[in-house]
Amino acid sequence: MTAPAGPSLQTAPVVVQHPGSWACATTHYCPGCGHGLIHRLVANALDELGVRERTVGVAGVGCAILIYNYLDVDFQEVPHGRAPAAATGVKRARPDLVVFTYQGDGDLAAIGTAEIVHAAARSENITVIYVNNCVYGMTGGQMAPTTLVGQRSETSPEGRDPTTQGHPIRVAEMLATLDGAVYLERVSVTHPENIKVAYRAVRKAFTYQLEGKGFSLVEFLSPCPTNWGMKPVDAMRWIDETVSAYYPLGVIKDREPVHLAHLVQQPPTAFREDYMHGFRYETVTQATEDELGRRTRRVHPFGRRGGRWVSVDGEEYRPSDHDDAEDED
Amino acid sequence: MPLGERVLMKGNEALAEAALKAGCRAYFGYPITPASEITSYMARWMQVEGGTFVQPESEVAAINMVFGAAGTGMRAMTASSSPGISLMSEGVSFLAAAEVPCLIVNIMRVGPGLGGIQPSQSDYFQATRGLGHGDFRVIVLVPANLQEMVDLTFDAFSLAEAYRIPVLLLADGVLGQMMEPVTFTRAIDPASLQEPEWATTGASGRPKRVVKSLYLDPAELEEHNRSLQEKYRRIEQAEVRWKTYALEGARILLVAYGTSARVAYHAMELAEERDIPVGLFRPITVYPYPYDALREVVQQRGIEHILVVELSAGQMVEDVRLAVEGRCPVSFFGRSGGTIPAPLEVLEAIRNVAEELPATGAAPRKGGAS
Repeated sequence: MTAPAGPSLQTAPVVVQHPGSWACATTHYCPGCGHGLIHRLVANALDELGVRERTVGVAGVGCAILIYNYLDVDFQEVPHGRAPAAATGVKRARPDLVVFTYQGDGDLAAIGTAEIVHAAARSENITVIYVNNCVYGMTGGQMAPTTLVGQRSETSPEGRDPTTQGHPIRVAEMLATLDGAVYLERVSVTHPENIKVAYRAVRKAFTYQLEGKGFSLVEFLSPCPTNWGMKPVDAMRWIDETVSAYYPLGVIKDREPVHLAHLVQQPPTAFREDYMHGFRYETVTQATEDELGRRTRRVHPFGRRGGRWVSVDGEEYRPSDHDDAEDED
Repeated sequence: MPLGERVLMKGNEALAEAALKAGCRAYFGYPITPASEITSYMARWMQVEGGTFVQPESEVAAINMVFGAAGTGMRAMTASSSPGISLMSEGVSFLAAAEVPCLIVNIMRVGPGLGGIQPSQSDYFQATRGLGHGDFRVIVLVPANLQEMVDLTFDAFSLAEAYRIPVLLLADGVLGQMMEPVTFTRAIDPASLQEPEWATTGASGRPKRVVKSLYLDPAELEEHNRSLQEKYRRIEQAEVRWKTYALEGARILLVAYGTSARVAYHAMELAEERDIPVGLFRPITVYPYPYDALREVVQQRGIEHILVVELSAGQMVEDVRLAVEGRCPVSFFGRSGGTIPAPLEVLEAIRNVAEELPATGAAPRKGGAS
C-alpha cells in the first residue's frame, strides 16, 4: 500500500482556523442558538484588531454568562444588568484596555436599562454586544421587554398583549436620542450575507473604541429555537420575516462624538495651590485647640451650609440650647 | 499639605483625603445626605491625583463600577448612607463571592425607609449580618473619632487586599459632619502597589483570568464556600480590634462604638465624679466582633452589669449577649438615632443600673437569690 498522494497535514496550507481569541470549548448552547455565531464574530474581531491580550470582557447574566468559557480573554462576571457599570469601572480604571460587555435582552433592556442608558449618555468608550432574541432564554422562555406583540411566551401564554404588557423596546433607537451614543447598528445572523454585515459592525464598534470615539452598541437579532418552539431553520426565517420587521436592520446611528467629557483635561493645577491653603485643609491654630479643649464639637448642618458649636458636656446640655440664634455661618 | 501637620477637617472630607493618601485612585459615588461631602471631595480632587471619578446613575451602578475598577487590581471605593447601602447589597454579595477587595463607606442615617438625614447606628444588623444574599461576611470597621477614621481608611485597603474581601467602614452622620483635628502621617504611591495575581488586566503572556461568582457544579460551589468560610475564620482569629477605658475597679461596663462610645465616655466620666465604678469597652471591629475580649474583661474584672449604649433600638446588644453568655446581666440604653442621647441621659441609665448592684462589700448575688 502506498500513501495517498497530496500534501500531508503538516505541510498543507492553512485555509481556515480558530481565532486565537477562541477557547475551543464544547458549547452548552442549544442547537440553532445564535450565541455561538456571535461569540465567534467577537473573537474574530479581537484577533483581527490584535487586541486579545489587552481585552477585558464583562458578562451579564443570561445564557451567555458562560461566554468566558468560550473566549480566551480576561473576563468579569457581574450582577444581572450591571455589565455597563462594571465595564465603566474597568475602562475608567484602565483606559488602555479594550472593554466590551456581552448582554442579552433581559439583562440589557429590562433589569439593566438604567446602566445601559447612562453608560451611553456618558459616552463610555466601550463596546456593547447586545443579543436580542425576544425572550428570556436562561430561565425558560418568559416574556422579555423585547418580546413582540402577540408573541407567546411562558408569561404571555396568549401572546403579548400591549394593553397590559406594554410594547417591545427598540433599544438601539432609544439610545440614538442620546448625544453620548456614537455608533449603533442592528444586525442579524440569519444567513452568510447578514453574518458578513454583522462582522463588519462588530469590528467597527471595536475600532471606534480603539480610536477613542466613545459608546458603541451592536444589536443582534438572534434565534432562540428552544424557547420559540421552532425548528432552527424556521427560527431564522421568523427573524427575517417578522422580527426584523419590528426591529429594522441597519445603522441606527453613526456619527462623530458630540460630548466626550471624560477626555477633557482638568484645568490648571494653579487652582489646586490656592485651594490647598484654603478649603481643602484648615491648619489647627491655638484658637481652635482651645475651642476643642473645652470639649465642644463643631457640627456642620448638612451640605456645609453654616455650622454651630454644640456642647457635649453633660452638665450643660440642654436641648433648648440648640436654637437658631446660636448658628453661625 | 505636608505630612505630619495637624489640620482641622470635616469628617467626610478627612475620610476622602485619607482614601486618596492610601492610594485609592477610583471613586464612584451617588450623592446622599449625610455622606455627600465624600463624593464632592473626590469629584474635586480625584482627577488632580490622577485617578478616576464617576458620579453614577445610582448606588447600584456605583458598586458595580467599584467591581469593575477593583477587578483590575486598583484601589477602588464608594461611599453612601443607609438607603444607598441597601441598594448596593446585590453588588456587595457579588464582590464578596468573587473576592474583589474594595472599600465601602456607610455614613449611617436614621431609618427605616427614607427615615431621616440625622445620625444613627441602626444599620448594625445590615453591616454585620445582612449586607446581601448568601453566606458571606465583610470586615466592618467602626471609628469613634476622625483620626481613627483616617487611620482605619488606610487599614481598610490593606485588610481588603490581604484577605481579598470588601471592607465596610461604618460611621454615622455625626462623624461624617463634625470637624476635628487630624494628622496624615503617610501617603501611598499607587504605583508602588503590586498588581494582584487574579486581576483582569488583559491576558498578555499568561492564561486568561476570570473574576466570577457563578459555580454551576454544586461540589465546586461548596468548595468555594468552604474556602470563603475558612478565610472568615482566619479574619476572626487575627483581625479583632477593641479598646477599653477605666476598667480598674469597674463594676459596671459600658459597651458602645462610634459616636455612642463618645457619649458613653463622657457619661463614664460623669459617673466617676459621682463614685460610680464604670468602665468602657469599645469595639473597633464589629465583624469580626471582639467576643472573646469582652468575655475576658467581664470575667477578669468581675463586671457585675453591662450597659450597652447605641443610636438604635438595640442591635449590637445582641452581640454583647452572645459574648458574655449570661455571665452578667446586660441592659440597653439607646435613642433611635436622629436624636442623640446626652451624657446626662446615659448617666441616668447608669444610675438605674447602679441601684440594682449589691452594696459594696456584700457578697455577690448567687443564682437563685431574688
